[in-house]
Amino acid sequence: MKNENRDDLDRDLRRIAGAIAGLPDREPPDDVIDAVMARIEPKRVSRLGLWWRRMRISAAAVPLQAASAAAVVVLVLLGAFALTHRNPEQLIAPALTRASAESASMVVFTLNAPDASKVELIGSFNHWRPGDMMSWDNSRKAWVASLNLQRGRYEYAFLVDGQKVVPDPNALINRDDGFGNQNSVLIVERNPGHETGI
Amino acid sequence: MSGAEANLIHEILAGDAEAYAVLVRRYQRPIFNLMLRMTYSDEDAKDLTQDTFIRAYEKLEQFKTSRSFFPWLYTIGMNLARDFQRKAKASRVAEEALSRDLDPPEAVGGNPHGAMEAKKVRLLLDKLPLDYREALMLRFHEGLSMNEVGHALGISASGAKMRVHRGLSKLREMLGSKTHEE
Repeated sequence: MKNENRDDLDRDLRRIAGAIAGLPDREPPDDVIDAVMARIEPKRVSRLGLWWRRMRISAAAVPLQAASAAAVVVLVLLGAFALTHRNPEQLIAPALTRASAESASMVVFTLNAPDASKVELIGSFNHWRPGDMMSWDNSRKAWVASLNLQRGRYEYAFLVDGQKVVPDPNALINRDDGFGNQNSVLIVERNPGHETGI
Repeated sequence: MSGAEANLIHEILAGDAEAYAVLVRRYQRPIFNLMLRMTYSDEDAKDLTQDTFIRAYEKLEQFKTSRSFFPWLYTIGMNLARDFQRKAKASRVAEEALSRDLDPPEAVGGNPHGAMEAKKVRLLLDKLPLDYREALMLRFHEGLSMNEVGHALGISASGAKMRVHRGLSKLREMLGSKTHEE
């Protein structure tokens, strides 16, 4: 009985969270961008200030999660320091690329649809283009796909047999897509244990 | 923060003012909607949206690119909106607007029951204390992590989590009592 109450509570909270996720926004007026851009002047910065800024961006962008990683980063930055004196543009890309790779999280999507002949995963992470086929996992009795996703908010759904769009029944949040379909909402955090709802 | 966004801010700080238009385009919608919730006025919301982006541009040197840009921008917007409310006594204006049962924008499509509940949730959100309302909007509508919600509201991640949970519980209570009233 206590568990039933708890389940009811969770379901209510998820429903409300889903309603908040799906609240319609108003579009901003068309001239906001022009009005802002008309009021700003280009920043002025010395070459020394520019170089220092780039060093700070590179250092901050790399999460120091382990001593070995830190050692590698120090080497990257030291190497970059030498490069910077020749061409500051060469410094930033490797450090930022590394940070991006480290902050991705593996997300496993599953759909229990034993009668389907094929299921595709579509969402904001692949621009809603069909083609990411899910595999049938006989031990789970479910269609499965895994993706590495950066931290952020994504919407997705399953395309069953190339025709039917189905939201994830296990998703914590679903929202209306404005065309009568439900999309599932996924929030990927920075660390493993990525998927969270409430 | 994504590497692309950090690079963009770097370019802006290096003198490429035009690159700032990318950030304005990306975030004008949530900031404008924040201002609508704060002012209940299209005109004031538009002015405050512009002011938020101008202020953020002026302070961009202080922004830490190890963090996400949007929560930082949101903090600036919230501060400006609070100043506006203090100066214009907008809280009274807000109450008047609420008493007129201001219609939120309608969702397109969807089932009627869902649209009805969304409308109720929107109206009840407006009755929540500001900090709870914005914590819920940032978490579920904008999809921020608890850390980012905390950054935007100037509280810890655990404080943000507590606010989100309490906000949801309050909304649930209010929805329950509203249902009973009907």
